[in-house]
Amino acid sequence: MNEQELAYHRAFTVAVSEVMGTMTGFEMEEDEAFFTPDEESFDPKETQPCEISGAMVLLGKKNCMATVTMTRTTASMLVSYMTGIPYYELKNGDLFDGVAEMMNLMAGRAKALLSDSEYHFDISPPFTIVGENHYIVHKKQAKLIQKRFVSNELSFILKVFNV
Amino acid sequence: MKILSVDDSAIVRKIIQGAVEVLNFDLLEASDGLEGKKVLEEHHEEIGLILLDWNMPGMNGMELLQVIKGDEQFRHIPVMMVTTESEKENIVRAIKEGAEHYVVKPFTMEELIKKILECLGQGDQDE
Repeated sequence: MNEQELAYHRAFTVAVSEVMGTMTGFEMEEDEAFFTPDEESFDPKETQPCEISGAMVLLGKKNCMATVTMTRTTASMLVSYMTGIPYYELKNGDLFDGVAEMMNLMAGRAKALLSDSEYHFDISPPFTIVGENHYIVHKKQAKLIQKRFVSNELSFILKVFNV
Repeated sequence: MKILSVDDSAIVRKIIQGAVEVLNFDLLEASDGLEGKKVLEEHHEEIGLILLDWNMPGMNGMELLQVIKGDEQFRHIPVMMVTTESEKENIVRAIKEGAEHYVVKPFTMEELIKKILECLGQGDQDE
């Protein structure tokens, strides 16, 4: 792992833990066994498809994209705990905005943690990618972070990659 | 008395609504700075506190803060920045522009309620 990867790993791991713990009460832990194939060997059948991704651009010495990808079920539970609104009352717009806001909060916290380092960055407004069975696929060489975080039956995939 | 929440995230405004309801206040909402300015112009006599996000499309929170503190009609209304911007220089900048309080996202509901009460000068009521 090079220095940029190490810096981002540390910052985003702390950010995920703090943000999700504070906003939802869930202690999200890294799934050490998680593996995603690189671009050359990507086979959709071997990768868990998801339905909602929050995304934003990190603007620094090297620009990156950060994404957090999850199923609708996970999004419903996390947004429900964030807002106190029962999951069955949440509308599509609530889920899409909630996932984008989760990405915004995690990137904002990571930004603060790296603000005094050479890897500091600014952040774009967040946006959401929606669609059944979608994947975020990027060039193998661009990868900085690819982690799955789990808490009980809930999980999401965090990716940060150079653009 | 009403509290005005200006934030481009509907989910953040819902979280704030939850806190405001616990305190038995009413919430007014705006999704960007321009809309926030319009709401202020219509309801400034009823608004006792403004919760203001920083990064919003169009007119951002800092620009709206400058409008609020530059206008005789509004400048007496306390403003609390509610934002992911946590760097010291940004906090100092907001305070210099007139923000009376600052809370960094993420926060728990309890933290938000406590901060709102502090802004309203009621911070010791529940201790």
